Amino acid sequence: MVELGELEKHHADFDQRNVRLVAISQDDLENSKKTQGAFPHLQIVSDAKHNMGDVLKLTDEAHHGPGGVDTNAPTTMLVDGTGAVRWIYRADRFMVRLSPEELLKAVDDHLGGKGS
Amino acid sequence: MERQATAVEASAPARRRPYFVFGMLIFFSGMIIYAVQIATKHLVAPWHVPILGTIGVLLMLASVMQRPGILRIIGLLIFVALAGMEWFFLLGSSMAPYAGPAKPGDKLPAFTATLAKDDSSFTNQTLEDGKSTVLVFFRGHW
Repeated sequence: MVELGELEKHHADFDQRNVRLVAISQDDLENSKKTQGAFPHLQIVSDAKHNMGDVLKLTDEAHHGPGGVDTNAPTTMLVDGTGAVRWIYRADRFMVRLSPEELLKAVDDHLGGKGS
Repeated sequence: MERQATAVEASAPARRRPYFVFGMLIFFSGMIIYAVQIATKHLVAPWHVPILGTIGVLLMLASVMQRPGILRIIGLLIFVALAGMEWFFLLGSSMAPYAGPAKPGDKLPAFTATLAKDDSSFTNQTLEDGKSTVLVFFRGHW
């Protein structure tokens, strides 16, 4: 959630590049709505049925959340305006995240900084 | 008089260095640095936590060897267990590289999920409207 807070704070930098920020978890809709309330400039997506997690093979098989719930392995993807993937990042440890500065640099490098 | 003073000095116990306290300080410094790291949103792998924890435990071990005592030994065992947990947590946090079907240059495969703001569908086609997207997959709300 620290990561989402940082993205929320820097949302204007992404808006300027015409890039939307979408954050996806396997939380149910109720919890996702709470997350949406906390981070109004991000688009929060509930993947409670694990469809994205299964299709994109993002579920972290080795680590689970409280109570043994499934979680996404923290991963970041840059997708261009045609729906094509431009860049995928996954840290080697689940507590490691990209800083907003690193992500903005990746946007500039892989999406040309124009957003589409 | 001079001879007496020398005798007193010679019989006084040698001053011991407070290795146990130094060890505890070093042990906790790793945790404090990590707390600062989290507070400043600097999310990198905290290798310093188990490394400083281990150095701290070694200093405590030196203290116990120098002057064994029940309390010191119990304290040492507790800190050994904590340092072990730190290593376990960090080494156990490793993730395999992404090996799913999404590949740079290819379109995302078809998927469906739900946008929290209005309960509408969020699909691969949502991402084909001309605007670029950062998809951040995170662990959850806790």
